[in-house]
Amino acid sequence: MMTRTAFIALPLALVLVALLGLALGSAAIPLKAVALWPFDSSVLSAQQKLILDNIRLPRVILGLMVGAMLAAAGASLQGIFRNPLADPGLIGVSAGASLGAATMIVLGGEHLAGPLALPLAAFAGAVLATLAVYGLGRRHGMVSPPSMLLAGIAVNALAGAGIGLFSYVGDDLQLRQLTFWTMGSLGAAGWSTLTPSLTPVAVSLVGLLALATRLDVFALGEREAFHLGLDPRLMVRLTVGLTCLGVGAAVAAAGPVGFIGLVVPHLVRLVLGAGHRVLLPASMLLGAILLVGADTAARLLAAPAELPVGLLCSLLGAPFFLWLLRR
Amino acid sequence: MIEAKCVSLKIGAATLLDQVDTVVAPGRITAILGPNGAGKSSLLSLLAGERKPSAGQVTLEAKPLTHWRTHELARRRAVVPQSTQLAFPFTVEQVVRLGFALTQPPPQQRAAIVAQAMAAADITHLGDRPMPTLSGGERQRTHFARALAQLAANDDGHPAYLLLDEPTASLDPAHQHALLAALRSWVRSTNGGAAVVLHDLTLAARYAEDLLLLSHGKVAARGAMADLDGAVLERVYGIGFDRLTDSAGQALYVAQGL
Repeated sequence: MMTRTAFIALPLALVLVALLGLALGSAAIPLKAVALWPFDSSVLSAQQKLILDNIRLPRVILGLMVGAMLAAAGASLQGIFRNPLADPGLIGVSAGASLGAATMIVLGGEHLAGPLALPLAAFAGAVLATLAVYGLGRRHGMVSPPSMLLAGIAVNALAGAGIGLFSYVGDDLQLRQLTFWTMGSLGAAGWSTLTPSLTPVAVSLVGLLALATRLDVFALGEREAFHLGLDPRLMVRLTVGLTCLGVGAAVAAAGPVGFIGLVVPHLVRLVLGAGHRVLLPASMLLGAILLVGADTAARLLAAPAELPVGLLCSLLGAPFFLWLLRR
Repeated sequence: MIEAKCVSLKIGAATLLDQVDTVVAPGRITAILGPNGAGKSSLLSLLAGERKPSAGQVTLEAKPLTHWRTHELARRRAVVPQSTQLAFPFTVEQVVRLGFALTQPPPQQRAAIVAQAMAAADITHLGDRPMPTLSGGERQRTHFARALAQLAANDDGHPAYLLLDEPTASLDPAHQHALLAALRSWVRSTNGGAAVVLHDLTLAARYAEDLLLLSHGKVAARGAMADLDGAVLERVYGIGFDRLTDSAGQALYVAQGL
C-alpha cells in the first residue's frame, strides 16, 4: 500500500538525487562514472576525483544530513508543541545560531577566523537560545509547550534585533558575509566543517526515531500522555534537547535553511498519515532529497554563480505545497 | 482499590476540594455527581495521579500514587477525559491502538484487543476514519475504546480502574446507555472498578452502585446509590426533585421545572 510504496520510492529517489548532485555542476561528470566510482576508481580522471572528493561529496553529504535533520526536527517539534506551525526556528535554534554567527563575524576579528570559529559560535548561539526558550517557557516549575511557544517568539525577536544591531555596526564585508550566512548555503561544505557535525546529527536522528511512538502518544495531549504512561516533562526535555543538538550542528555547518523543517512533515502527513513511526523516517528521506535536489538546482540555474539554496527551497517547495493543500 | 483520604486541592486562593474521602472499589461503578464547579473533574485528576493533592493522600492498593511509576500506573488505570484535542489527523483505529502504545501487549493479542474495545464502544465501522471527521459523540466513544484497550492490554490479574469524566456528555440517549452498559460489563467481567462523572441522575441510578455527591468541593453525600435522599439533592442543586418509580420498580429522581 501507500506506506510500502513510499519506503521503496523515497530511498530510490534519494540515491538518484545524490548521484545527480555528485555528477552535475560547473564541471559535469558522467552519471555512469559517478555511479561506478565506488567500485572502480579508474573510471574518473584525476581532476574529476579531486572535484568529487573535496567538493561535491562533502557537499552532498552535508545536504543529506541537514535536510534529514531539519525535517525530522520539524516533525518532532510539531508533535511536542501539538502545533502544525512549529518548526526548528521556533525553539530559537536558527535565530540563536544566526546571532552567534553574527557575533563572530562582526566581533571575532581576524585572529578568530579559523575554519571552526563560525560553526562553533553558531552552535553555541543555538544552544543558548534554546536553553533560554526552555527556561522562560516554564510555568510553576512545569514545562508548558504553549508558554515555550511564546517564549520562542520573544527570543526570536530578541535575536533578530541583535542580528540587526550587528548588521548596523558591521562594515560592508562583514555585512555581506552575514547576509549570505543567514541565507543558508551548502557552498562552504568541506570535510573540516562536515565531520564535526556528523556525530551530533546522527545522535539526534537516532534519538528522535526512538521517540516516535511516544510522539504519537503525546499527540493526544499532555494529560492523556501521562495517563498512558509517559512522563510529559521528560518527553519535552528529550525532544527539545535532541532537536537542539542536531539542528544546532546542522545550522552551524550550513546556516539556517528555512521551509524544509516546516513543510516536509506536512507533505508526508498529507500522503502517509500522522503516525510518527512512518512520519519521522519518511520526513528524513524527503528532507534529504529536497535539500540535495534544491542545492543541485541552485548550482545549475545561475551557473557559474549559485543561488542560495534556502531561497530555492522555498521557491520550489511552497507552490508545490499549496497545490497539495488545495488538491 | 483507589482510595482518596481527606484530600484537598488548593490552587492560588481557590479551594477546589476540601477534605474529600472516597473509594473506587473493584467490581463497582461509582458515580461522581454535583453541580458545575463542585470539584468533580478536580477529584478525578487527583484519583488519576495527574495532580497532587495539597493535603491528604490518594492510594492505589494502599500505595500512594506518588510512589507509582508512570508506566506502571498506566497498566492499572485509564482515564477517559471530558474532551481531547488531537493535534494531528490520526485514524480511529490508530487512536485506539495508542491505548497500549507504551505498555505493549504480546503482538498476537493486539488485533483482538483493538477489535473488542472498538466493538464495546460501537466504533467498529469507523476504524479508518480520521478523527477530525468524526462527531463529538463518536470521538468520545473512540477515547472510551482507547481506555478499554489500555486496560485490556495490561491484564495482569489485579483489578484495573477506569476513570471517566462526563463520558456521555455528547452522546445520544441510546449511546449513553450503550456506553455505560459496556462499562458495566467491563466492570463485571474484569472485576475492575470505575468512577464516572455524570450529570444525568437517571443514568447514575441505572448503572452506578455507589455515589459521591460533591458541592463546593466538599462531600455532600456518599454511599450506596439506592440510599440517595431527595432532600440532599434539592439542597445541593438548589432545584426541586420528584421521586418517581419506573416500570421496573427502580427509584429515579427527576428535576422539577422552574
